[in-house]
Order: sequence, then C-alpha cells, then structure tokens
Amino acid sequence: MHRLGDTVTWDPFPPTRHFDDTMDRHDAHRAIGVSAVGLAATGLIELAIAVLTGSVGLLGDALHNLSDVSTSAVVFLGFRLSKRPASASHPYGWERAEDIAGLGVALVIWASAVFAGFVSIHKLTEHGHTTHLAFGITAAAIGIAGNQVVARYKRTVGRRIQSATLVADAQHSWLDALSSAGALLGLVAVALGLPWADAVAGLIVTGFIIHVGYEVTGDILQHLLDGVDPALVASAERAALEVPGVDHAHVRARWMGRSLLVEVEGFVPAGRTVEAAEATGRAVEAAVAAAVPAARAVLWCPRAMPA
Amino acid sequence: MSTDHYHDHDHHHPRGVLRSILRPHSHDAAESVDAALEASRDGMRALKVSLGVLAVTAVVQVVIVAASGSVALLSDTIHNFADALTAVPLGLAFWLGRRPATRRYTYGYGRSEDLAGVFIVATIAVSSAVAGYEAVSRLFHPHDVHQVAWVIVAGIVGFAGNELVAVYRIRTGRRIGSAALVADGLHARTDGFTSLAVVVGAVGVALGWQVADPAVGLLITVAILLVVKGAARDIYRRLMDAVDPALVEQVTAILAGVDGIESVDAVRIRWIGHELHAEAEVTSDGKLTLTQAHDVAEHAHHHLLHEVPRLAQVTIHSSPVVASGLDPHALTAHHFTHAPTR
Repeated sequence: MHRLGDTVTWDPFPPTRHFDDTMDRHDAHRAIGVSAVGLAATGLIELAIAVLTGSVGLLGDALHNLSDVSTSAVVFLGFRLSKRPASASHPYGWERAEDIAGLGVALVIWASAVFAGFVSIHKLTEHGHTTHLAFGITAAAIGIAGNQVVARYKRTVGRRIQSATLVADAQHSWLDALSSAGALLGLVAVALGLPWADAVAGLIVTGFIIHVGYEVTGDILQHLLDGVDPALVASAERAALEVPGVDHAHVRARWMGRSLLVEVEGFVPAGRTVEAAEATGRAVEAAVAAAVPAARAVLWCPRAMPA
Repeated sequence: MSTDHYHDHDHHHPRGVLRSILRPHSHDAAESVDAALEASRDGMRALKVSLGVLAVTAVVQVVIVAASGSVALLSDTIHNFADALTAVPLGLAFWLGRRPATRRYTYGYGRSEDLAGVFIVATIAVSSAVAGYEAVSRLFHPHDVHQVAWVIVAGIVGFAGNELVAVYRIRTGRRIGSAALVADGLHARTDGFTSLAVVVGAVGVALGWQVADPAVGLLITVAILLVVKGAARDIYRRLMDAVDPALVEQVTAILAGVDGIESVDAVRIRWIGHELHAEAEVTSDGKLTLTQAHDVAEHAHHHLLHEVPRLAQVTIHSSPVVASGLDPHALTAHHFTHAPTR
C-alpha cells in the first residue's frame, strides 16, 4: 500500500511536463510549507490537551506530529539543495539531496516508532491515569482530520511532480492520522471503563509505525543503492531495439531524486560513421523518453557491432 | 566489478566487443579489475585484522574487570564489544560490492558501502550522545572511583587497542578510497578517546580533583562531535555523487590531449563504493567510422587508467563535431549544466 519510488513515479503524464522543473519545485515548496503550518497547529493543540488529560497515547501522537514539522524542514532543505546546478565538485548536480532528505524522513519514522513504543510500555507498566476524556477525544479527532488533509494534499502534489520524497512524507502524515485514530480508540475505551486501553492503543499504533517505516526505508535505500525497477530497464532496451539500425542494446539506469538517468549502450553496424550513429542516437533518445516517461536524461553510447 | 553481459542468449552476441569496451586493453583492464577486487580484499582484511585486535583488547579488559570487580569498567568493555559490530555491515558491503550487476542494480552493489558508512556515522553520533549524557550526569552526581590503578590500566589498554585499529583502518581506507572504512577507523578512534577519558578522569580523582572526571568527559564529547562531523561530511559527499573537482579537471585535461578528440564537452565522475566511475562526452570528426572512433576512445581510456588511481570504469561518448551550431543534445543538455570543462 505504501510503495514509493518506482511504482509511484510510473504515473504517465505528458512528456512536456518532464522538463518543467521550476514549476515542480515551486509546487513542492508550497505543499511542504502549507503542510508544516497545518501540522504544527494540529500538534500543538494535541500537546496542550495531552498535558491536560495525562493521556500518554495523545502525548506521543502530538510529539509525532511535531516531529513531522522538523521532517518537512529536512525535505525542504533537500528540495532547495537539489535546485543547485551541477558544478565541478558535483558533476551530476545536487538532486541526490532529495534522496538523502528521504533517508532523514525514514530515520524520523523509526525514531517515532521507538518513542511511541517506549511511552506505551511505560504507561502500561506504571498503570498511568487518564483524565478529561472528552477533551482528549476531541484532540485525537482533530489529529485525525489535520493529518488526513495534509497527507492527501502532499500525496497529490508529490505524485503530480513525481517526487518520491514528497510521497514518502505523505505516507508519514497518513501514518500520523492512523496513530491519532489509535489514540482516539484508546481514549474511548478508557471512557468505557478500561484504564489500560490508552497504553495498549499506543502499542498497536507503534506496530503500524514500524510497518510503514520498514517500507519507506526500503524504497529510499533502493534509490541510494542505484536500484531501479527491472521492468523499466527492459522497456528502455525494447524501445532502443525498435529504432532501425540498433542491433543490440544494453541499458543501465539510476535515480537521482526525481530524475531517472538512463544510459543506453547501443550496438550499430561497424561501418557507420559517428555522424550516422549520432542520428540513430537521437532517435533512440526520443524512443526511450517516450517508453520510460520518468527518464529525464538519456545518454547514448554507440558501439560497433562485430561483423 | 562485473563486466560480463548478463543476457544469456548466444545469437550475435557482441560479448567480445562489450568486453573490449569495459576491459578495453586486456592487460590494463585486467589490472584495473584486479585492482578493484584487491581493494575489496584489502578492505576485508583490514576489517578482520582490526576485529581481532579489538577482541584481544576486550579480552584483556575482561580480565582486568574480573580482577578489579569494577562495574564501571564492565560497561566500558561491553561498549567496546558492541562498537566492534559496525564492522559487520561494512564487511557485508565489501562482500556485496564484489557481486555482479543485476537488472535491478545495473551499476552493481558498490554503493552499499556508503550506506554502511551512514550506519557507522549514526553509531558515532549515538556514542557522542551517550558520552555527553554520562559526563553531565557525573557532573551533578559525582561518584567515587575505586581501584584507580586498575581503571588506569584498563583505560590505557582500551585506548591503545582502539587507536591501533583506527590508524590501520584509516590508512587502508584512504589507500583503497573507501570513505566508509575511514569512517569506521574514526569510529575506533572515538572509542579510544572514550577510554582515554576514563584514564584522565581516574588520575584526576586519584589526585583528589573530583571534577576532572566529568570535565574530561565533556571535552571528549566535543572531540567525538568534531570527528563525526568529518566522517559525516565524507559519507554525505559520496551519497551526493560529489567528487574532488581536481579529479574532473585531471580527466578533462587527459582527454583533451588525446589524438582524435576535438573537444571535451562534459566529464562526470562519481564514486561507487571505493571505485571511481567516469563518463565523458567528447566530440570527434563526424566522418570517422565507429570502429575508428572506438580506437580513439580506447586510447583515451588507456591513458585514464594509467593516470587516475582507483578509476574502475570509463564510458566515453563521442558525438560528431557540430558545424552548424545545432546541438545534438539540445533536448537533454540543460539537465547537465556542466562546469566549464572545455
């Protein structure tokens, strides 16, 4: 359900959008900024009421939401950095900053899981009390609503501009909504006369956090390891082979942030001139760009096919 | 470094050519591939030897703990044991890095080494947090140190063992170009610092100066933070695909001097684990046949392998000299806004 990266970025959209980076980044900045403000407000309301009620589940949920704001700051930094042009020290540009920011997001999710688990176990063993249940339930409901709105917004923008990091961030907000729902259920159960329910709900929510953390980390790690969906490599090779004059093609690909870099090693008849191979290459670049919409740069390396 | 083509069909398979591209000169390329494998082996050996040294250090400390019955020393020993475990992901990464490229990891697994580096940096950061916490807590709750002589001996043993490992790993890491191995060496160094802090603190306590223990602890925390900063920066650069600009200049200059290359349009170099991979866009006479252009590229490749240490792979893309001012790469050019490499 929370697969990121390759699956998400497969969404087809018109090729002209691929190169519209300025607009993409503007959208990303706005999405992150609006979300951060919304989440900060939600988290602060929850925090105040958590202190009032003594609900550990709500406290964890509030701190979790506030940690999201710092996560957003990390993602924002990633987008800002990735805008920089390539230089002698960064010959491939700065787009990997987004992947590193994604790694930061993953680390925050794991830290949230550890924290939520610790708080829940502590409350369970110490038989902590919960008061002012009506306020607590209201705060948890606000938590659910705030997070759902933010998650939906980020996911929509993230998919449109093909940002794995932004979608990762949306997953995190979605998980926050789930954790708020857990806090809500726990508080309702406490109201029904089960004082330990708050802590148990906290533990269940921790399990969800661990699950999402696991999946988000896998995708970010695959990007950082230069991993790509093999289907994507295969379709780039098929596209290259369909160009007349290409006898054999060997493709390598990797992600840098939201950009897929594709390298096509194409074998053409040995007698061809460099000029002719270049013309073939231009056709290959167009074919690969059409077959693999996520490709932002295609590097063509013509090779002489042995007789 | 895998150089074999992974398709298994045998019809018209240009394996020979492919091999000649990736291992362009049988002798040079074989040397280069061997060098890459040897670097991984050296890295592995550094890990194994240093694990042995750390084990001996820990055993000596255990003996001292048993002799002294000091609980404080026990925790330092356990810390040393636990910290040696950062070698496990790094060893795994060295092993993974030697595996051939696959359809999913089309550039091989070399970058797993840099991810192991992230883990090591995180471990050092946690160590510094723990050291800082302990120093502050001892500042507010000073505790007596018993058996000062034993504590000093154990601390010196811990410092010596860790520093030995640190020097060995850092030296090997720098030689083979592994940022993660250097980071792990720095990690051992921070552990040595921690042991040294125990010694200085104990001496202070023996001289009746109780505040020496937490004060030294805080100093060591700051020292570890400085070390973690350097290690984190190096690993971050590797993950960012950043490279020493002088290297780009060197490769550009070498390519520009090769007969048959008219201009060097772009040079991109990045680290994959402890190997350098370069990719160059050059122009040559459009009337050349591909075979002739290939000879030019081979010549260039040969020069590069000789002159650039740790360079494992070079991809040279030749395009025709543009006469009309029409850029054949207009579509993708703005994605690689190059530094002035001409």
